Amino acid sequence: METSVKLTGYQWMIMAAFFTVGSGTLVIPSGIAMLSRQDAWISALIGLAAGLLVNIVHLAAARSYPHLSWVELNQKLLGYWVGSAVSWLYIITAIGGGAVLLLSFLGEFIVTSVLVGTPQSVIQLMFVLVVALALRLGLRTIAYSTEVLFPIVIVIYVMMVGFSIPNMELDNILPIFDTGIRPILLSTFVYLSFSTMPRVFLLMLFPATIDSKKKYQAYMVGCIVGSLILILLIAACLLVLGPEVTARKVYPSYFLARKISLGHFVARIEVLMATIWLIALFYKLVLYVYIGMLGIAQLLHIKDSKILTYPILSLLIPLSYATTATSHQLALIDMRVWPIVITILGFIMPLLLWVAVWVRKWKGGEERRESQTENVQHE
Amino acid sequence: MWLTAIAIVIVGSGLGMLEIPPLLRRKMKREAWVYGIVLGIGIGLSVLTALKIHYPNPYNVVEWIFRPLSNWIFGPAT
Repeated sequence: METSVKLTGYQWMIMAAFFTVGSGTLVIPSGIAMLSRQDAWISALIGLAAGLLVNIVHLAAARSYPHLSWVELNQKLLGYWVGSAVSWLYIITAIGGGAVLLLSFLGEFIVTSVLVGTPQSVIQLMFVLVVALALRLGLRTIAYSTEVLFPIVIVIYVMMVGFSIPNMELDNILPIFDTGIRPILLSTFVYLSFSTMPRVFLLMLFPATIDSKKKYQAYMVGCIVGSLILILLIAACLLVLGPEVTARKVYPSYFLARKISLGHFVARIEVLMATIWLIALFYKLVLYVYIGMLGIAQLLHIKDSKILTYPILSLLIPLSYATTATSHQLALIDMRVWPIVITILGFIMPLLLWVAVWVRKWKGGEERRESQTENVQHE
Repeated sequence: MWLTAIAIVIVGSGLGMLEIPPLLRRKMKREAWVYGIVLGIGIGLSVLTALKIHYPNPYNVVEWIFRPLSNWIFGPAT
């Protein structure tokens, strides 16, 4: 069965990195440049530090009972019914929020920038079929395929940022700290809600699938690698395009790659940038659906979570149509609703669970002490 | 439009017919039920989308729930 899959630390690190980068490479730069202009890179740096704090909260909640899955942890700490309800919230958000929004982004991006005029549903259907293939083959195959694709992504990424260096102008990020503290913190919040806090869903994979003594370190390293990829990209966008263009373009990093021209020979390589994004997005989508399936299987006591692949994937395309009923609506859900939902599930809930763990320990200690004093009295 | 809807129904029910009987044969009744219900919802939503019939959009409900909070954090919607 799938639950006995064991991943190595390296695979786990790559998956954490891909999950962090995910939808971010194309979307985050404009989202946060809209709020904090030329200081967007500062808010991304704050985001890296704050992201580590969020990680500590996540891991603290998960580490207190390392052999329990996230669903079982919820049920143990919050009671069976409340815990199940909270777990359902996580599953619905992973599939109906995370996966569907990623699919909507994918459709919008390909239709507006790469294959202009192709019906969105055709592209989404083809992508979903590949996702189905990956899910049917199982997490082990997914993990090994990340090992193949990660070096490719890194090479393309270094090429992209390296070739952009001649276009950079330092004037674009001056004056520093001009926008004020509130916009910077707000855009840090947006950065966190797209790259850092969704990683709470990865915790669902922890106990059953990851068997490595260094899994926590590998996870942390993966998160830092992913964040650095994002921060460098945001900085490159700002330095080359300037805050105005970065904020106005929907996909600034794609536009950044379009500007690359080395001696009029290496030019128009923006599709490579889209490749990075597609690879990272693919793994994020696969993991979201996989985690949702795993959660449903645990909650409904289904023996093999792979059975659910096709039914759940059949939900994604119509739901993604519902999010893009108007093009304004996707931005609305994305920039105004998703950050709040993911803050509740990705930060406040783990914090509450951590507190619950402490309360249990403290109470347990109290009981033990009482029983000890009783013993003393009996003697 | 109609063709798309019919194709969706054919492919969807074909998928169900391919995958549900083996589950029943292995005495996995619960799995078969979950499979059928979720696939049914998926096909239903896809057909409604293909025929451009409006159904209550779940995302509008979520957006409505969080509207006061998002207005407070990000300022009023533009």
